[in-house]
Amino acid sequence: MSLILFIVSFLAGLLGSLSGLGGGVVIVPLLVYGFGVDLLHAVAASLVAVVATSLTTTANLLSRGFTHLRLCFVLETAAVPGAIFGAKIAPSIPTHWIALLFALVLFYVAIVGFRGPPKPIKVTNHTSPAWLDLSYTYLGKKEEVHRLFGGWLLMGGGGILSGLLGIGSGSINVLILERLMGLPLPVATATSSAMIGMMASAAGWTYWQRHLMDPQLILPLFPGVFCGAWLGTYLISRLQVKTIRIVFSSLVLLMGIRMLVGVIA
Amino acid sequence: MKMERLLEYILRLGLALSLIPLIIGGISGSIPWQEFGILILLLTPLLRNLASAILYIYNKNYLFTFITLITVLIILFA
Repeated sequence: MSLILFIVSFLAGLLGSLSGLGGGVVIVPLLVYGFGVDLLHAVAASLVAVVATSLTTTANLLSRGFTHLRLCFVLETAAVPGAIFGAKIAPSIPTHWIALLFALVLFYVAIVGFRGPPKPIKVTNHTSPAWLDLSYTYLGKKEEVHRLFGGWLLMGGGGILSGLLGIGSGSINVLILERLMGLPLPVATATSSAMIGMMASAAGWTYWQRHLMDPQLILPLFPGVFCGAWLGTYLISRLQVKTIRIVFSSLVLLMGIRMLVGVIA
Repeated sequence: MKMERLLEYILRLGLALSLIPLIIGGISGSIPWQEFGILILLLTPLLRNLASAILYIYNKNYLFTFITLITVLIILFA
C-alpha cells in the first residue's frame, strides 16, 4: 500500500504543481475513496503534505522577491485562527457535510482550472492604513494594497476551509489577493504560498492534539507530494501547462462528482 | 531582502531536518522517529514567524513584532 500511496501522492503533487491548483485538494478524496482512510485522518495527513509543499514553494519564491511578507503576516492573524477553528469543529460536523463542502470546493477548483488564471482587474482606491505601511514595489513601481479589511475577513474564511478540509485553499487565497486586494498575480501567488504553510501548520497542530495524525499514512504521502511538487516547479517552464491544467481539472471535477455521489448515497 | 534570505534558509533547514527523522523512522519502522519528523515539519512555519519577530525587534518595528508573535501565540495556546 505504501508504494502505491507514494506513487499516487507523487502524481498528485506533480499535477497539482504543474496546473498551479495544488496537490492537496486531491489527496483527501484519493485517501478516502482510493484507500478507504477515515475522512479526518485523511484531512490530517493532507495538512502535513500541504505544509511540506508550501515550505518548498515558499523557500523558492522568497529568493525571487515576490512575496509580500508584511501583508502575509497581517493576513495570517485572521487565517490562522480560522484554520484552528475549522480544525476544532471538524470532528463535531457530520462527515457527509464535510464531504459535501469538499465536493463544492473541488467543483470550484475545477472551474478555476478550466477558465485559467483570472484576468487582472483595475482596483478602485481603497488603500490600506498608512500606519501598517503595506505598500510594495513591483517591477520598479510602487503599489498599494487595497481593501485590506475585506481581504482580512475573507482570509479567515479561507483558513476555516483549510482546517476543515485539509487543503491549502491556494485558489481561494489567490483570488482574494488578486481580485479583491489588487495584488499582481506573481505577488499574490507567492504571498498565498507563504500563508498556506502557516495555516496548514496551525490546523495540523489541532489534529495532532486530537491524535488524528497517522505517521504510517503520512510517511509515504509526504515524500510523494514533496518530490512531485518539486519536480513540478522544475518542469513548469518546460511543458505545455495548459493541457496539464485541463487534464488535472477534469480529474478534480471527477473527484468532486464521486464525492457528491458518495454524499447522496 | 535580508529577511527573505534568512526565512528561506529557515524553511529549507526545517524541511531537511524533518526529512532526516522521517527517513530513519521509515527505515527502522519506529513510530516515535516518524512523529518527531512530522513535529519538526509542523514547527517550521512557527520558527519562521519567530525569526521574523526577532528581526522586527532588531529593526525597532514593534507593531510587526507583535503581529508575527500573536500568530505563534494563537497556535501555541489555542
